[in-house]
Amino acid sequence: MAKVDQIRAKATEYFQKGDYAKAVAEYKKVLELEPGNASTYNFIGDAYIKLNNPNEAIANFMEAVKGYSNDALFNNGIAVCKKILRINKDNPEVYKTLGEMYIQQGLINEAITNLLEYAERKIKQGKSDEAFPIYHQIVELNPQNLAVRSKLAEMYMAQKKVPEAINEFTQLANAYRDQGRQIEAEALEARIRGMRGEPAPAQPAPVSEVKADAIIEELTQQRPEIQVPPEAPALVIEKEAAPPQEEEPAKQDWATNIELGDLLVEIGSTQEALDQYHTAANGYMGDGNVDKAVEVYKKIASIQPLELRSRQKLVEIALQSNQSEALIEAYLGLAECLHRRELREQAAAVYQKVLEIDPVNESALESLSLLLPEMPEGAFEMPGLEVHQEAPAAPASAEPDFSFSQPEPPPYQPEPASQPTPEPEILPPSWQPAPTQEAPAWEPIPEPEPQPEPAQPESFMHSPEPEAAPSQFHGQAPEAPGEGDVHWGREIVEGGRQSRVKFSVADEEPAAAPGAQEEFLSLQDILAEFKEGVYQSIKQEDFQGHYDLGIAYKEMGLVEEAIAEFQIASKGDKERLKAFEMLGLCFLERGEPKFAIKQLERGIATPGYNNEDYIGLKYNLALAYEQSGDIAGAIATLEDIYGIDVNFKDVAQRLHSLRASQAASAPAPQPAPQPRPAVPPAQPPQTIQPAYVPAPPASPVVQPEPAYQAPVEAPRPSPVPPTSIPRPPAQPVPQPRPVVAPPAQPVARPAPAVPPRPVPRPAAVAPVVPMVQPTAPVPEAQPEPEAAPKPKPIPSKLKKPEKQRISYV
Amino acid sequence: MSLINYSSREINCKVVYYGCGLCGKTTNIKYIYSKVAPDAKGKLISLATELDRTLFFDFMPLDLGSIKGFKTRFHLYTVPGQVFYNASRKLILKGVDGVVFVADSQVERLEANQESIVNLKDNLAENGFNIETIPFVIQYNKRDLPNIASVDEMRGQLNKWGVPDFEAVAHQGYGVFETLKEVAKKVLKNLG
Repeated sequence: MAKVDQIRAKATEYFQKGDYAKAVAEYKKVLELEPGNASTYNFIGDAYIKLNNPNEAIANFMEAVKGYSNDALFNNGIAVCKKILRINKDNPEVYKTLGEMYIQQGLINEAITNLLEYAERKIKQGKSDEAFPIYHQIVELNPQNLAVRSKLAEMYMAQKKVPEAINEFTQLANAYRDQGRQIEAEALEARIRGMRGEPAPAQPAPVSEVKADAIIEELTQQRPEIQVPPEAPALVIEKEAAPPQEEEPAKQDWATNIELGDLLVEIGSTQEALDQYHTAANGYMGDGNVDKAVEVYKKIASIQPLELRSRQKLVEIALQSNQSEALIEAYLGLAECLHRRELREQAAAVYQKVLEIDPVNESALESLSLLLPEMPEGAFEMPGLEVHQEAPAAPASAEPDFSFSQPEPPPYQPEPASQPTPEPEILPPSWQPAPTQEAPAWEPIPEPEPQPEPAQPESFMHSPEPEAAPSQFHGQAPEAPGEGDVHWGREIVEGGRQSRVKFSVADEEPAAAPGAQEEFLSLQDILAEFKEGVYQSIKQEDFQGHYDLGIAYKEMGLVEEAIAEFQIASKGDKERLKAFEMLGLCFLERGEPKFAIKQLERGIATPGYNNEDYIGLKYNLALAYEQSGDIAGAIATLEDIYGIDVNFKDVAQRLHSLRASQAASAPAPQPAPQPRPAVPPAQPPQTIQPAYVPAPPASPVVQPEPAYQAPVEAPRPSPVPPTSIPRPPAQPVPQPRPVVAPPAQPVARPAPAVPPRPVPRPAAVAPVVPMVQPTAPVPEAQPEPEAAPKPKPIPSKLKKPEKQRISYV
Repeated sequence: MSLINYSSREINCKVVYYGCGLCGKTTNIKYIYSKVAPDAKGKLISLATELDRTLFFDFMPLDLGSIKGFKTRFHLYTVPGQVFYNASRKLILKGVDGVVFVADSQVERLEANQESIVNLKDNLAENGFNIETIPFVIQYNKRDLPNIASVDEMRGQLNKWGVPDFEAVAHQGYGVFETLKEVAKKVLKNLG
C-alpha cells in the first residue's frame, strides 16, 4: 500500500472511531502528498463539522468544490455546495458557484435560480455592479425570462444608464409583441419614446394582417358580449377591427407567409409559424381562394392538432360550402380536438352534429359512447344545448345554445427547449441477457450495432396554467337562424375549459385550505396536460407511438384514453390488427360489447393474415357475444377457434360451459333445427359477420349491456362437425344436440382430430393473463381491485406543478 | 399483469422505476434509451416540470427478445417522486409486473428513501400486490457523490427482503443495465 493510502486509511480509521481531530491531522498529511485533492478537503470538512467548527468546515468544503470543479466533477461539486448551504445559507458566492456548475451540467433552470439568488443578495449588499453581469448572464441563458429583463432595465434606469435601459426596454417590448401582449408592448414603447424625447405618433400605424389577427385573438378570448354575425366569420371582424381604409389594399402573396412559416417550423418556432400560416389562410379567405385557405388550415391542424382555431375555421368553411363530407370531416376534427382538450360537453355536441348529417357515422357513435355516459344528466340535449339557462328569453333556435362562465384560456404555446441528444454507443458488454435456468426460453435480441441515433429529440415548453379569468361570460344564445352554425362553431371553442371537472378528494387527501385551490391540480388536470403535450408530440401518422401510448393508458386502467390512442393506431397498416384486438378488449372492459364486436369484426375482416393471427380477435369476439347475450354466437366463434387451436387459452372449457348454459336455458331440443351458418376459418374472415352482427344502436346513447343474458332463442346447432368437438368425461349436463362424444379425456387435451397447432403458444404464459375467468360464463373481471367497467383516474388534489416541458424523443 | 396481444404475438410487461424525488429514475430510463438500438425501442415519452421533475410518468417500450414465439415488450415507467403525487404513483403501479426501487445514496436522502419504500409497499398493496412476492430489485444510485451512506447501511434500512440490489451511477450508466437485466429476468421467470 502506498504511503498516502496508509495515511488515508489511518485518517478514515480515526474518523470512524470518532477521533475527528486526529482524522483532520492525518487528512492534512494526505493533502501534503496530494495537494488540491477535492475528496480529502471534503473529508476534512466533514470532520470539522463533527468538531463543531463550521467556519473551517466551510473553508475546506469550498476548496473541495474548487477541486471538483477543476476536475469537471460537477455533480460532486454541487453536492458539496449544498452541504455548505446547509451550514450557512448567507454566502452569495456559493449560489454563484452552484449556478455556474449547473450551467456546466446543462441544468439551466437550476442555474438561473441560483444565479438570481446570488444577484439579489448582491443587490441587498448594495453591490449592484456585481449583480449586473449576472442578470445579463441570466437573460442570455433564457431570453424569454422577461421578468429578469425588466428588472435589468429598471436597474439601468435607477443608475441613470438610459441607453442601456432603452436597449433592454426595446427588447422587452419586442418580446411582448412576440407573445401577443400588445398593450404591454405599446405601453413600453411609449415609455421608450418618452425616454428618447420623441413625440407620440400622430396616427396609429396601419393594422397589418398579423395585428388584426392578434386583435381578433384578444377579442375572442376576452369579449363576452361581442356576437359574430353568423354570415360573417372571423375575417369580417378583422376588417371591422382594422382602421377604415380608403382603398383596397393590394393583394399580397400569401405564399411568402407560408414559406416563412415552414422555415419557422424547421427552427422549432412553432407558434410564430402558426401565426404566419393563419395570416396566409386569412389572406386567402379574403381573396376568395377558399381551397388554398382550407389547405393551410389543414396544415395548421396537422402541425398543432390541438389548435382549435384552425379546426373551427375548417368547420365554418365547410358549412358555407354545403359539402356534407367535408363538413363531417371538419366536425370530426373539431370534436376530436375538443375531446382531447377535455372539453367533453362541447365535443359531444359536435359529434351530435355529425350524427345529424350521418346518423350511422361510426366514429361519432363510438366517441359519443365514451363521452355520453359521463355527462352530467341534463347537460346534453339535442337539439339545443343548454349548460345553464340564465337567458330565459333566448330566441328559439334549432342550433345548440351555450352559455359560458369563462372565456377560453390562452392557447397552448409550446416553445422549443433544448435537450441533449444521447450519444450513440454500444450496449455495455455486461448487457448480455444470457439464458438462465430460470428462464430457459429467453432469447436475447442480438447485441445492437453502434449506429447513429436517427431520432431528433423534440422538446416542448408548456405555457403556464391559464390565469383565472376575472370576467364572467354569460353569452346569449346565438341569434343564428339558418347559418347559425358558423357562429356556433366559434362559441363551442370559446367555452374554454369551464367544464373541466375537479375531483373531490375528501377520501384521500386533506381538504385544501380556503383559497388554496389554485395551488393544486387534480390528477385529471395532470392527465389532461399530459395528454395534450403527448398528443402534440406524437404525430398522427406515428401509429406505433399511439399504440404504445394506448398500452400505457390501458395498463393504468385509463381505458377511454387507451381507446382514443388505439383508434388512431388502427389506421396504420402494421398496427391495424393488434390495435383492433386492443380496442375490442377496451370496449369489453367498459362493458360495451356491441362496440367491441364491431371493432373485433373489423380486425377479423383485415385481409392478409393467417388464421392464427386472428385467434385473439376471435376469442375476444366470443367474449363480446357472450357479454351481449348472444350465446349461440359465442359458441360458434369458440368452435371456430377450437378448430384452429384446441389449446388456446380456456376455449375448450368455456365452450363446454356455454353449451351447458345454453342447454339449461333451452325449453326442449328441437326435432329438426335449422343449421346455423358455419363460421369458416378466418380466410376470408368476413364470413363470420353476417350471422352475428348486432343491430346498430337505435340511439347514439349507448346503454351498458347486461353482463350475461340467457338466450331467448332456441339453441342453434354447432357449425363444427360434432365429431370434432371434444366433450369432457362424465358430462352430467344433457346435451341438446346429437353429439357423438369422443373417448373420455381431459378437456385440455382433446382428441387429435384437430390439426396440431402451427404456432407454439406460450402455454405457461397464458395463466397469468387476466383476460379469462375460465369457468365463468360472464365476461372476465379485471384483476385490479380498483378496476371497474369505466375506470377513472383516482381523484386527488395535487400540488400545482411548475411549468412543464415535454420531451418526446 | 402482462398484457398479451395475440395478433402481434407480443407480451407487454410493465416495469416501474420507483423512488423518492430526484433519485435518478428518469436518468435510468434515459440512459437505457440512449444505449438501446433504435429497432429495439419505442418512443421515450417524458413529461417534466420546469425543474426537471417527472410530472406524470416517463414511458419507454423496449423489446427484450422473445419467449416461446412471443415478442417480450417491456414497458419501462417512472413515477413522480414527490410526496404529493401519490395518486399518480398508485395509478402507474396498476398492472405492474416488476419494480425497481431507485435509492438516493446521499446521506441526507436516507429518510426520503425509507419514506418512499414504505409508500411503494402501501401502494403495491392497494393494487393487490405483495412487495415480498413481486419481481423487485433495489438500486443504490449516485454512488459517485461524496456524501453517501455505505451500501451496508442502505441495505439494512431499505432491503429488508433481501432482494437483488445494485450500486449505480445512473448518469454514467454504471449499474443501470445490471438492474434492468435482473428485474427483466425476474419478470420473465414469473411468466415462464
